[in-house]
Amino acid sequence: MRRFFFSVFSVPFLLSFVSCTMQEKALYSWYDYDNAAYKYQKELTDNSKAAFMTQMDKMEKQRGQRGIVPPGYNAEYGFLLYNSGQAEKGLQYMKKEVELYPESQLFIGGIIKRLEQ
Amino acid sequence: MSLWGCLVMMVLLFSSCAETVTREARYPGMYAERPVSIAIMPPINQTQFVEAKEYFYTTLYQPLCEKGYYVFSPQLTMQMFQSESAYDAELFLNADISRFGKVLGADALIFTVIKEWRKNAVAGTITVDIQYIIRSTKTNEILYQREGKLTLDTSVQGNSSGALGLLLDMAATAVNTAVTDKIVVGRKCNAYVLSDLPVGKYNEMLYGKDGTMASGSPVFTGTIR
Repeated sequence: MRRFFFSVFSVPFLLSFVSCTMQEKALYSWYDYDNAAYKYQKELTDNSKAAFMTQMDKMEKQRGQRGIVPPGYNAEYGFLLYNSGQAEKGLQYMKKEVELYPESQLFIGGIIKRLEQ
Repeated sequence: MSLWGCLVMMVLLFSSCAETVTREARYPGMYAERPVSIAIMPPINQTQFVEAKEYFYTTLYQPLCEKGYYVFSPQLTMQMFQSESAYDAELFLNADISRFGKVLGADALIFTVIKEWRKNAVAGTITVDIQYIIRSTKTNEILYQREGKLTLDTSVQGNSSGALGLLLDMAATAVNTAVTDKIVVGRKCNAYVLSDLPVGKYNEMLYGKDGTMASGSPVFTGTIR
């Protein structure tokens, strides 16, 4: 009887501890995106913009669960590149966003259309 | 452990399970509509911290993406909102939002209402109170609603004793609170409150399987260090 109770109750307790200690792997690699985006928005200087662009460049290397860049990334980076004098490269990135995430077709597709006119 | 000990544990285990509300029961709209894409609305700021609106806006992007949703780039949507006179999100909080579905292709919008965001250098705390509301652009219904009241304790407790020690601790607390960026607590509040949000389709591991998971309370309250 005693052995039965121990076996029945030890399993859920062990499982609860395991689930508490297990860290789910992030879907995407963010590096220091949050801080760089915040600093860029707060300061709006050439330095903070350059740091943000470097950060965006880094994010292409994805080691997250999905192995691809997060939603919005290609659109945002593409738009930044477009506005920094790299129009063609910027448009390529924006088109990648629509390919990777069809949900963006209406919004990003519309921006691409306007920029290409 | 004695047999009685095991029985007590069993009762405790089952009684705690009986009180839980599943995510599907708490947020039925999220499971009925299964939104894929979310656009972040400019925060509604009810505080004296005027910069809160701009700074808090981009912090929602990362946690929502990590939940498995398609999230529109905040930098791009903000420009659109400004040009379309949609910067004041309070105008849309209770209004028809179907046009955002037609213009952006967003299935849902997330609104945030910043009710409190203040630093107390003497007490060594930064406190936020933020309400999160996700509404459908198809039905205008509220799909998810939760509030976070979070305090970040920035106080410094040194080892020195006596009146001088107390004064030094107070000074260190004031400095530590002053240099801690307010945004830190906003990000943490997002993480705690949105941890309860049902996952979106890009979280392939959990999508459609998290309905039976226990949900948190409608108001999250806590103090962290």
